[in-house]
Amino acid sequence: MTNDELLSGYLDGTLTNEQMLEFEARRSADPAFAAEVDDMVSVENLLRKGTDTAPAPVGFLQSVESSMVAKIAAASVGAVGIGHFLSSSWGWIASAGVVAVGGGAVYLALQSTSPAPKPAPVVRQQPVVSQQVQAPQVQSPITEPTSPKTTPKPQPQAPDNHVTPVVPQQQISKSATAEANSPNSVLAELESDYAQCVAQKKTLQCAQIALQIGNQYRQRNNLQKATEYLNAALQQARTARIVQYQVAAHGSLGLVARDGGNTAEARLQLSKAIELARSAGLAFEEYQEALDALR
Amino acid sequence: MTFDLLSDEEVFAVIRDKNDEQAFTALYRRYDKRVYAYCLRALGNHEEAQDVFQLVMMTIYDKRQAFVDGSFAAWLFTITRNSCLKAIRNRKNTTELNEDIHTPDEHDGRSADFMLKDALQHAIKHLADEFREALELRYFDELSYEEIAQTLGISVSLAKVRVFRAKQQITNHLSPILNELK
Repeated sequence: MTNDELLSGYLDGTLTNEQMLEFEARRSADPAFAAEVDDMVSVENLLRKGTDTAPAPVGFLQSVESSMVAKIAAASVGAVGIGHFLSSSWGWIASAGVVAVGGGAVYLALQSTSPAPKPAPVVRQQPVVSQQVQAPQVQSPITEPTSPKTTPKPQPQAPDNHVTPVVPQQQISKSATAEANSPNSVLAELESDYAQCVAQKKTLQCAQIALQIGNQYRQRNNLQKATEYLNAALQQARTARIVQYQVAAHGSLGLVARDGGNTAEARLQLSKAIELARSAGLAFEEYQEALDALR
Repeated sequence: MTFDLLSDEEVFAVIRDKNDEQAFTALYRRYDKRVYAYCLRALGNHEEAQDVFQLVMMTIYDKRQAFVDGSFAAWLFTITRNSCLKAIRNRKNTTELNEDIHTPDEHDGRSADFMLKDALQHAIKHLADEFREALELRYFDELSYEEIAQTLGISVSLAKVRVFRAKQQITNHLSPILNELK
């Protein structure tokens, strides 16, 4: 073996016992080689310590992670078998989005002609129709980077790229119609879904469902239960590191506190929602308006 | 489900086959800083690094069915490298590397450690691309020689040679300082 081969193996720690003896023999016999080894070992140690680079922007990495997780969760819902898909509340939620995109006439036609696999599908669809239509403020940093760019924007190619997480605040006004038609069984089913997803530790779905339930309870003026579920949603959103849901949970908690006359808590929660939304580049006008109205 | 005990390839299989977001999170957190650091080193500024980083993450998910065997790390860094090269090719105007990126503690200029680090950074920057790339994959991105070979599309033995030659050139560059410090 050449000196270079021995030295390379020595630095990588891959020399056999026999090769190591050869290496040590040459090192002892050749001062120039010994000096080279010393220098190379110093450089090796220096390289292993690494060099300092500018730290990655943590907020950026988290926002990409959040968006990708939401995208995968959306794809996961889409991948479920159609029978199970339609029999689950999430199937109805997604169905509602498709119906909304298809247009009101088609929607009505479907309602009148399609046999419902489960009772009260309209009730499940209605709130999410508004959510799907009004989701643009939930922008994925994947598709819409917020900072100014010097290169052409990456062009996402997958059809499932668009992520539309739940934005409960957006649903409240339009979901009034659904509320009027909504039997308690819907809420019970949502709670059942929530218990199931907690058992499965699906934090992202848990956060979504808890937000839905919290806002349902808020509409029914059951502020205690609303607070309970919205706090759970907040915890799940933090665990899943989904900023959008954290914003929505804080915002809803603020509105619940406002409804309950707890102005200080309302201000606190709304301020948190605004601060988080601002840092993540999300819309927060509704919370700002609510906060301004409290002043 | 905990993914701590699973290999990268096993975790990625869960993502690919089950669209499991928790698996993605686990794998993402193993590599996010390294991939970002690679992009930053290759492109020299945060703006482009963020663009390419996002693109890489999108690509590995969208192309997940294309990964069937081999090293996930090598596949990931191949995509990252190709994305960076494409971004560089697409530059209308050549952007100078931001000198600040590699010198966050430049004010601490009195220590020997700083002298060595500074010299090391300088030496790395002046390596030929083929040597620098192999060296960075080995020491900064912590890839094995097999993964470096796969990433660069070269043989394992050539990957070893490039890394070794890079270290030799750095050693030559640093020798005066090392001798001074002895």
